[in-house]
Amino acid sequence: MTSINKQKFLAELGKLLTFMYEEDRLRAIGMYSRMFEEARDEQALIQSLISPTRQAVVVARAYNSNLGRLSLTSESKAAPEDRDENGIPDYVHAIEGVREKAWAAQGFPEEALAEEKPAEPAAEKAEEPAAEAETSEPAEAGSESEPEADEPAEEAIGSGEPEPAAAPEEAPETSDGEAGEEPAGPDAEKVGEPVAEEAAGPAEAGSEAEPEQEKADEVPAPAEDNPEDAAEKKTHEGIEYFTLPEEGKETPESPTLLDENSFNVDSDALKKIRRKPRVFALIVYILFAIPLTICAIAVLLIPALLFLGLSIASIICGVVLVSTAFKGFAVFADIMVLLGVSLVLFAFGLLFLWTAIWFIGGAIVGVVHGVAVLCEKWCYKEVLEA
Amino acid sequence: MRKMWRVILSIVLILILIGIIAVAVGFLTGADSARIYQTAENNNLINLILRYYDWIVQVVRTYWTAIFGS
Repeated sequence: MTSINKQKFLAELGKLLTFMYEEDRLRAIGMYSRMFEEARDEQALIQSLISPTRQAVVVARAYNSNLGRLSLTSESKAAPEDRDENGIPDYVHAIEGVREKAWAAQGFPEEALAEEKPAEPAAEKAEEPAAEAETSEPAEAGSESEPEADEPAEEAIGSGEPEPAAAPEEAPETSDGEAGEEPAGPDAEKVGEPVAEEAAGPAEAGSEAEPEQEKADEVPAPAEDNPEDAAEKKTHEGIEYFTLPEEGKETPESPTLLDENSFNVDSDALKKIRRKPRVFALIVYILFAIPLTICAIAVLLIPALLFLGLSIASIICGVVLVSTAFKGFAVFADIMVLLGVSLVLFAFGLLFLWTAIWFIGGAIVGVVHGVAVLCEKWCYKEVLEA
Repeated sequence: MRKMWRVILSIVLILILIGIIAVAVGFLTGADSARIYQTAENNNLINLILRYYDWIVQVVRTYWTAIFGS
């Protein structure tokens, strides 16, 4: 009985995400791997993630909407619809959502969350292709400001310069309600992401923030975000979802998918069944079985040969009758009688021939097979080996 | 094997049925068994069949002696 750990979880998830492009798959696995590294308690994180299948569904939900738009002729997987205006794929948002929920379930302080947020998109941004290098500049700025998250915010307020990453994060914590920070505050999903509109200034960024919030809401989220959809268990994309109990409403009678029996492998099934001979019984059996088998074959050969001879005789008689009917007989009625008799002889000849074949191919072979089966049954024992 | 039994028995029954019909038609259209026997004897057919029967008996005896002794 083994329980799932990080390696198993990621391996299982990797298998389930094979429908994605390799690049996307590695990126998703990398995000989950980072999630495990940052987690305080690995098992708690696994419990909050429910199962690899559950996470694969979450990712697929965000990924599949774009996959449908891919055509076979398209060389680039990165269709414009795949990504939001910041160039971040939807499934990344979905994994971010999962991560935030997992952190919330583990009781991470809000500050820790806020500090972690800018780093990830920036790091992910660095993995983006060179074509997106221009859009990643604000993210890099965010990553530089990560260690001292408060400073860029103050600079942004003071100078009005675009500081995309840290400035919006400060908004929920500061109660001053400063103009530059308030609009960006609700955009929690977009915190730390390089918002291009923010380059025009904090105020403008704030005005753009609400549409972003709407877009963030449109990002496919785990099933518990939308209970109605989860109840239907199906989306318009035809993906089946799990129905999960709401947080805090889980009952002991409804265990989660990751109970202690999950991902357990029956260790007995892995054992190899090997047959060992009982030497003494085998020797005794051979001593008795071989003569008896020979006798049985000889007995069965007698009727087989008898029927074979009868069939040959019948067929030869039929042939002689047919030849005589057309050679020496002139009356049609006599010919008809001889042909009728020859047909009956042919019929019996065929029946006897088949009986002879059955004796040789069925009965004799059956006896040999039966002796072998009895030998296996009596003279061998099955032993389980690891 | 069971299916082959069915096929063989079907063929045998059909052949027997056709043979019986042919014999019946022959006797209904004026065939005579004494005449047939006479004609067969004239063509050495009976003698041929008897010689064949003798040959089969000899073969069986030879093998019986070889296997089980005299």
